[in-house]
Amino acid sequence: MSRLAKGGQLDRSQQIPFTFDGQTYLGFKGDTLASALLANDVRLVGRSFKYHRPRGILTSGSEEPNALMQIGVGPQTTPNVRATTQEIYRGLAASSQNRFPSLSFDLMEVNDLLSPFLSAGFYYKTFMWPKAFWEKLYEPVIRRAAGLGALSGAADAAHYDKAFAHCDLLVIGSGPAGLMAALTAAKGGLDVILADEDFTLGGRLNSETYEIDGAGCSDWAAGIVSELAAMKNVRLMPRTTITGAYDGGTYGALERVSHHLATAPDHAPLETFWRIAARRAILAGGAIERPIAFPNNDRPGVMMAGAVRSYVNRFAAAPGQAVSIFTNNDDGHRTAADLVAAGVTIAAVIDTRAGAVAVADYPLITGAQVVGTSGRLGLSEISVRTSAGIRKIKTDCLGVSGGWNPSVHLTCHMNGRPVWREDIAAFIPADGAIPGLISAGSALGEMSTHAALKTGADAAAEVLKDLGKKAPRVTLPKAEDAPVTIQPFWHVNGAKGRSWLDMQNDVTSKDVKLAHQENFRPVEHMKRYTTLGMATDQGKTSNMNGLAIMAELTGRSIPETGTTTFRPPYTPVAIGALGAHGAGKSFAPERFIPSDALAREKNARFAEVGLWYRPSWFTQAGETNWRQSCDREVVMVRASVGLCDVTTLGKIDIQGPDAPEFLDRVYSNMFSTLPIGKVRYGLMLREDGMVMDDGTSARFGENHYVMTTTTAAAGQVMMHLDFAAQVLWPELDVQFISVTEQWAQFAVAGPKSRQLLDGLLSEDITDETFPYMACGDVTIGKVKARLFRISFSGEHAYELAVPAHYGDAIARELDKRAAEMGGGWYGMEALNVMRIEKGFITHAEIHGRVTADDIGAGRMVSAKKDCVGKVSSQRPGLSGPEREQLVGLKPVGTVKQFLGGAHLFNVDDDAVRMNDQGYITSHCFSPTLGHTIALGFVKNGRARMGEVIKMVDLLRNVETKCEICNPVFWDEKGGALRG
Amino acid sequence: MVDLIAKTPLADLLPAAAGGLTLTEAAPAAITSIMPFRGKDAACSTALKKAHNVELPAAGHVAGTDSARVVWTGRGQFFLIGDKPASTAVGKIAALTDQTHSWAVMRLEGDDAAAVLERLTPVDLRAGSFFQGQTARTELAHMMSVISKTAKGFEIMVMRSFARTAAHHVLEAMHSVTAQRQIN
Amino acid sequence: MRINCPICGERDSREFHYRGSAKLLDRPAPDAGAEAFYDYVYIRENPTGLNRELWFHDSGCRSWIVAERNVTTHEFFKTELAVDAKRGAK
Repeated sequence: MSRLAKGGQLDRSQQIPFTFDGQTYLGFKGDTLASALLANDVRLVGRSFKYHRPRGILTSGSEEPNALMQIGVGPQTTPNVRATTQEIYRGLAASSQNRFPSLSFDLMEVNDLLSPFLSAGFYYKTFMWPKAFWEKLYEPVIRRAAGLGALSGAADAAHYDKAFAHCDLLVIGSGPAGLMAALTAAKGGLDVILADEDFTLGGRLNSETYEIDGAGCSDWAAGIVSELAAMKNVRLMPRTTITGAYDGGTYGALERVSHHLATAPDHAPLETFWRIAARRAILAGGAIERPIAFPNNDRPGVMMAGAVRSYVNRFAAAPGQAVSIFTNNDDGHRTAADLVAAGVTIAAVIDTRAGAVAVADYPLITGAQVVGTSGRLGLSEISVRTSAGIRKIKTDCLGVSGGWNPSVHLTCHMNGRPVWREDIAAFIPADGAIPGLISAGSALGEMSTHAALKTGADAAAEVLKDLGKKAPRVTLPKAEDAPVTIQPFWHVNGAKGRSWLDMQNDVTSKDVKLAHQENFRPVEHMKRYTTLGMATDQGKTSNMNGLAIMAELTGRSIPETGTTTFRPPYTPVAIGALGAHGAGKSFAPERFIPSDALAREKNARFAEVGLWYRPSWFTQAGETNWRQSCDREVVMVRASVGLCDVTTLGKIDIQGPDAPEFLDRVYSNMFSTLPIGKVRYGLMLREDGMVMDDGTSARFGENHYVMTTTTAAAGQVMMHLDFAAQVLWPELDVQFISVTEQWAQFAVAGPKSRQLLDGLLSEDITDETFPYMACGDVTIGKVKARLFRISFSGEHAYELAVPAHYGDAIARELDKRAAEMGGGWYGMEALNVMRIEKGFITHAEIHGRVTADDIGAGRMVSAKKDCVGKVSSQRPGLSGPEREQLVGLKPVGTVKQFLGGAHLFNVDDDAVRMNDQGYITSHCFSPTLGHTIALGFVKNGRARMGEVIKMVDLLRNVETKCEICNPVFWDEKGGALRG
Repeated sequence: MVDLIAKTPLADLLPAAAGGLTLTEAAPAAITSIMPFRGKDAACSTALKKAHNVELPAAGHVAGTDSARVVWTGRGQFFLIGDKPASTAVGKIAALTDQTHSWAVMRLEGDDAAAVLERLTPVDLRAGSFFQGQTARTELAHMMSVISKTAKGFEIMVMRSFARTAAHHVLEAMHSVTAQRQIN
Repeated sequence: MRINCPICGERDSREFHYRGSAKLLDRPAPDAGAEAFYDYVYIRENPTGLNRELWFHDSGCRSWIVAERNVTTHEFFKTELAVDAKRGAK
C-alpha cells in the first residue's frame, strides 16, 4: 500500500471497493480512480495506441493521455474514461484498454519491435497498393490493432439531458483566480456561474500545501466556496467542463451528473449538456504542466511532477517509494519539498539548470539530465547524465516538470492564436480572442498564487465596470508570490532510444524530425503528418514540445515556428449528450390529429407527414396488406361516403381592409373578386416564377378570408405571408394568424355525403343553398361550425370544421352516421389514389421546379394584376412546348407497373440521359378504372396525347410501355363534384 | 339534436406531479386573438378597457387578471384569455380570431419550475430577468410556445396538436430535476 | 450565436430563420421588366465582412428583421424591423 497514513482530502470513514481488470481494490471517498490505483500500487494501467507499449498514469487531470479506461460491464459501458477524473464509487468496474490478451502480456507488443517500420507516414507510404487490399486487408488489420476503447454496439440506454443557462459572468475554473473573480463579481451584484471540471471546487488549491491568509490554501478555497454557495446570484457547477466557446458569448458545457454514483436516482441523467449564454466570461482554467522528452520517458512510473504532488497532497497516495524529480524550473523543487514534508523518500532531484538550489532536504543533481529509464512494466531505474558521466539511480517514480503551459484552449475556439511570453516560455491567450472573455491567473501566465488572486479580482472588477456596476471592496488575501524561474528545456539530445511526445497517439521526437526531413515543416503539416496532438487529448501535454523541437530543427524561434491551436470540445463529449432529448421518439415533436384516438381504435396505420401522424389506411378484418384496405376505401368513397381527418392542412385566418389586395398579390389568380360565401382554388408562386403551393381560400366577409395550404407547406406559406406583409408590402393593412389547430376538419366525400350531413347540421344543405365551392357557418347542436363544399377526391364532398375540442366527439358522430350508410374512414393512400384519378396535384408534382404553365394552369396567372412570381414566370424558357408538362399515363403493354421517379423515353430511343422525355411523379392502382395509372411530366406533353412512350427504371429494372393521356382519368367533366 | 362533448387537449394526461412540482391543464374558457388594424393600437386598448377592463400590454408582457387577461403573443398580436371571448366592439378596430381550441395551456408550479424549463427552452427565465407579468414567445423542445411567468411558476401554451409531446417533455424534465435534487 | 430581436431582445439564433441578403426589401415595381426581376431574384453580392441580411424571428414574435452582420466574425452590429427599415428607406 502506498496510501499515506494521514493527510489528503479523503473521507477515510467511507471505504469504497472497486475493481480494475477484475481484481478488487479499496479506495476512499474523495479518490479518483487514478489516485485509488496508485494507492494500491497499480502502476500499469493501459497499452498504447500504436505500439502497445505499457503505460501508466501521467497526470492528475483531464489532460491525461494514458490512463483511459472502460468503465462498467455489459453493453452499457463507457470507453476512454480518464481514470484521473473518474470518481470511484462502490462497485465501480474499470478495465484497461487496447491490450490482448491481458495488460501485462500483450501480443500486439510485437508492434513495438517493428517500430522502425511504423514511423510517421508509414501508412501513407506502405499501404498504397494494390488498391483492393486497402479495404479488404490493410484497414481491417490496422483497425483491430490500433485504437482506443471499444463500443459495445448496443444502443446507449443512458438518459442524457440538455439545458440552457444564462448569466452575467461565467467563470471558468475555480482555482485562486476563479474563486476571486467569482467572489468579486458576485459581491458586485452580477449573476455568476462558476464552473469547474473537478468534483471539488478549488482547482490547484486542493493540491497545494501553502497558506492563503494564514490558512491552508485548500481550507481557504473551501471557505470561499461555501461563501459563494450561500449567495443567491451564484450558481456553482462542479463536475462541469466548459467544452467550447462560440459566437455571441455562448459556451458549451458538459456536466457529469451521475458518473460518480453507484446507482443514480431514477430519471437522473448521466450527463447534461449545457449551453450557457454569458454576457462576459473569465477564463481561469489554470495551467497544464508540460513534460521533458527523454528516451523511454513513457515507462509506467514516469509522471508529471505536479501530478505527483497532487497525489501526495490531495489524495494521500504516494506514487512511489523512492521518487525522483526531473525539472528545469523551481516548481519541480516544490514537489520535492512537499514530498519530503509528507514523508516520501526523494531519490534525487535532477535539475537541468547548473545553478539550481535545493529548497528542502533532498539530494540534488544540477546541470544534469535524465537520459534513460529501465524496468519492465514499470520504472525501476533512471540514467542521469551529469558532467561527471552517466549515473544510474534506483527509483520507482520520476516526476517531470518542463514548466507550465497556460490553458489557452478555449481562446483558440474562434480562431484566436495564442501569443508567446518569453519570461515564462509559454503561450498565453491573445487579447480579445473570444469577444467578452478575459483571462486571469495562470491561464494568463500569472503563475504565483498572489498574482492569480489579484488578476482574478481585477478581471472581475473590469467586467463589473464594463457592465455598469461598481466594483465592491474585496481585500486581497495574502499569498505566496514566487517568480517563475525557468530555463526552457524541451527534450534531451544525444541519447539512445525513443523520446515520447504524444503518448496517446504514440508520437516520438524522431517522428517530428522525420516530418522536418520530409519537409512537413509548418506546424499544421507536421501535426497531420505525425498525428501529434490529434488524439482525444488534443495534445495538451505534447503539442508544445513538438513545436519546440520543430523550432530547433528549423533554427527559428517558437513563435516564428507557429502556435498550438485547439478546437472544441476541450475534452471529449459523448454524442449522446450532444443529442440529448433527441433520441428515439424525441427526435422531433409529434403532432396528433383530433381523431387520433378513434383512428387507433379503428386499426389505422399511420404515416408521418411533416410532424403529423396521419392514418395511411384502416385495416379491417381479413385484410392482409395495405392495397386491400386502400382499394376497399376508394370503392367505399366512390360508392357511398368516406371520412378523412384533414385538420393537418394549414389554415390561415386573414383579415383587414387590405386583405383582398393582399391575397391578389400572394396568389397568382384573383381573390378580390371572390364572392362572400365562396371558395376558390388558388396557386401561389415563388418570386422566381415556380409554383410554391396550392390550396383553396374561402371568403367569409368583405375583409375576411380563410386560406388553406397543403400540410407540408403550411409553415412555409405562413412565413411567406409574413414576408410579403412585412418585407414586400408593409403598407398593406392586413392581419393574419394560423387557425390550423382551432378547427378539427373532416372531409365527408362520396355520393352519400350530403345525406350523412342531413340531420347533423341544423341548416338545410341543398345544391341551391350550398352549391359546389360554397362555404358558410353551420350549427351542430350548440356548436358553431364551418362547412366548405370542396373536394379533393372528385366526389360530391364537403369539409366540415368544428372547434377542435369537439374534434373527437364529431369524429365519432360522423363515424356512426357513415357506418349506417355503408361508409367509413379512408386514409392517405386512398386519398392519394382518388386525387391521382382526378389529376389533382400535390407536392409530388409541384416539387419546386415546375411553373403554372407546366401543370396546365398558365391561365391562373392573372394578366390583370401583379403577384409574387408573375414577372419571373413570364421569362423565356419557363413556359411552352420545350418544357415538361403534366400528363396522365396509362399502361398499354404487358407490363403494367409504374415507379415513382422513373424516367420516360421515346419507344425507339435508348434509355440514356440525352433522350430523356420526362418522369413519373405519382402512380397508383386505380380500383375505379381497374388498372394502374400515373401522373408525370413529359416534354411538350399536352400536344402528345395518345402517343405511346416507355417508362424505364434502370435501378429497379422495369420497363413499361404507356400512353400519354389527360391527367384527369375519372369524371373529366366534374359531374360528380357538382351533382 | 347532436350534443357534442368538448375535450381539452391534455384531459387524459394531466394533472401530474414530480417532487414538489406540479403540471396541470388550465383550459381557459375563451382565447381570442386580437390584432389591431393599422394605427388602432390605442383605440383597441381603449375598447378593451371598456369591454373587458384590461388594456393592451407592452411587448413581452401580460395585463389583467385570470378572468380577463391580455397576453402579448407576437408582433402586433395579443390573446385575450379568460371567461369570455373578445367583444365585437373590439372587432371593429382589430382582427379577432377564436383561438380557444388552438392551444393546450399548462401550468407548471413549484420552486424548481425554472430549472425544469431551462431544460426545454433557450429563453432566459432567471428570476432576476423574467418577472410575473412577463411573457415570451419562444420554442419549447422545438415547439412554438408562449411562456408566461405566474405567481407560482409558469403558464405554458403550445399548439393543440403538440400537447402530448409538450407534456411529455415537461414531465421528463420535472422528473430529471427532481432526481438531480437527490444527488450530492 | 445570439441575435438581438428589436421586439424580444437578445435570443438564441435557433429561434431565427435566415433568408439571405436584405436586397429582397427592394422588390422592383411590377412594370420594371424581366431584367429587373432577374437581378432581384438571382444576383447577389457576396462580400466578406459586413453584410445586410434578412432574418425571421420564426419561433419568437414572427418579425422579419434586417441585420447588419460581419460574416467573418459573426458579429451583429445592428438589427431593426424590416417594416422600419422599409419606412426609413422611403
